[in-house]
Amino acid sequence: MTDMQNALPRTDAQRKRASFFNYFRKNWILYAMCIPGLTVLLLFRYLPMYGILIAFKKYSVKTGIFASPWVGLKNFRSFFRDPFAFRIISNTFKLGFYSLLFGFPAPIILALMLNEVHSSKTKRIMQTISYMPHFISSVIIVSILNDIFATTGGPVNAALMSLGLTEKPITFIQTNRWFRTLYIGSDIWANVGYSSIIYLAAMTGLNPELYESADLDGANRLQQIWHITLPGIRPTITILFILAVGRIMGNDQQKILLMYSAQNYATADVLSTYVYRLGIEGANFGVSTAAGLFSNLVGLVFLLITNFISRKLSDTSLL
Amino acid sequence: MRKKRIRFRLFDVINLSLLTIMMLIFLWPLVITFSTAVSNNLELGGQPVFLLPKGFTLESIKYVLSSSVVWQYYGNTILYAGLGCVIMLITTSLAAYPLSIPGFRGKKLITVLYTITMFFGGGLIPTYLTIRSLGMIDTLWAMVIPTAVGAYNVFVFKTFFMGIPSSLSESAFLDGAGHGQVLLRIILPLSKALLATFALFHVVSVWNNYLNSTIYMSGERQTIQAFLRNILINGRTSELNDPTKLFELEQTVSSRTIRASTVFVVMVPILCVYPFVQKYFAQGVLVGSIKA
Repeated sequence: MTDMQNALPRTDAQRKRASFFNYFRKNWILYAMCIPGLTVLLLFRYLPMYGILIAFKKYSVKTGIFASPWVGLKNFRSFFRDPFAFRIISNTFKLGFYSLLFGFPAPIILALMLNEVHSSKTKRIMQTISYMPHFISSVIIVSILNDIFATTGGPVNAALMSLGLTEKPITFIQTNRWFRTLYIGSDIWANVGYSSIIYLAAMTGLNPELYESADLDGANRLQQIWHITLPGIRPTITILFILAVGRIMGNDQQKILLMYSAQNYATADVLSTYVYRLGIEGANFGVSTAAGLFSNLVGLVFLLITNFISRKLSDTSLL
Repeated sequence: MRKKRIRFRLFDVINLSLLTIMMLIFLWPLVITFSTAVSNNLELGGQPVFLLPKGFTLESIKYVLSSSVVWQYYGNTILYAGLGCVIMLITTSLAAYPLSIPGFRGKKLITVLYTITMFFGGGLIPTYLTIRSLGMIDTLWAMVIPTAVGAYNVFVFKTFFMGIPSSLSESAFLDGAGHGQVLLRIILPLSKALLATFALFHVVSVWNNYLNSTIYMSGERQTIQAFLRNILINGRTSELNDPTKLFELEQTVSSRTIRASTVFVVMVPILCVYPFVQKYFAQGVLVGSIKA
């Protein structure tokens, strides 16, 4: 009856506007619900994006973002001309690459092993133990690491010496020789259990009949794993791999900050720690933001390339 | 149901042995921390702890627990984690619910807005400057609001909400309920596993983060991890408590045992809470993996 009273919309655009207006009026509360989330998003994700402009300006706190003079790519040039720039970038890549190389398969292997455990009680207990380290903070992990691998009074060195494997204690902490090993090793210790959960969940979704018929065909356990389990979770592996590659440039900044010092900058200093040092400690906002932007872009490019390759090779892709 | 006879093959023996070794590796660092914390320093004599404590004394732990500073930082952390968690659950649920409604006009635009933030962001400095220009530095809000909404969380919530049978909400609508009531009385009560899981995620991430509070907050308002970092990594054990108390303890306690005790005291709450929410946890990650 109200249709007769309102003038009928004439054009398509008017009709669309009218129907949206009606929808809005009926469901305004839905739009109200969106407000808190979008506000936070706008203020703390999109507004900082505007701060990326700092990378292109000679920013000073007094003049603010608008008034600071535009300097084009000068900050980027400063960054790349820094004598340590190459080292920093290469450290970032190397750390990311080795983390991926060792850290990506580890949860898969753990999941495969846990999946093969017959007793579900044992399996659950082991799972619980394995993801407990994930909840321990970086500060505590690094502190324990420092104590375990301490040159004097550390159990590892004491054990190595009493076993006769070495005459003098080995310096593990804050050296270039061992940084990557300690970093990646402690990373795996902390995260392998937690990361294996997704793979385990995917494995429980596999059809048990496949295993039964493989049994009848005489396949042994390893063969079953290789031919059934692994292909079965391939989509999961692929997607997680793409995401992992996208993160290759972003290391655990907090942990590295705790583990590095001038003694091991040569391997430990990476883009994220450089950004922190320059920005928060050195207040050189322009170059710091430029370096951070560079890091983000490279990560994005990696993500897109890997996604593209994956889409061509299989049907799975993220985007 | 007839239980299948399990044949224990060589494979199982090797598998279980390797797994057991791994389990020991997971537990060992935690065990020796505890052992060091309760060791009597006189009997330690500079020797490392391999597994069991040397001597037994609770003095180190008591020393740490009696420090008023520790409780202050604990309090800060609990406040940020708890409040942040509540705010996160509320805003994420509110944000995800409209997206789960079929036919919601504008869904695509909003989804895109969230998705973009998953891959691209301002970075450390711009975010810091934004928070500063909003006048939030050194306030409670800097710790609880920016982390309240994340695209990933919103999407997982949305998927979960969509999985709830629409017949339930439909009958509510027929009874005259509005969206608000449907969310409150139907959807959320059925989402307890989801809410518990993400609450846990959030609390853990706030608890373990030290950088945020060192950047945004002044010394006294920082979190327990930031405080820990000062003590453990920067070696400033004297900030912990009244150093003169140490004389009374006559060497049963040393900076080593104190450090281990501090670590132990901070580690224990999370490890205690963890088994209780563990049952929600495994389910919750399942939900997250389905999203993928």
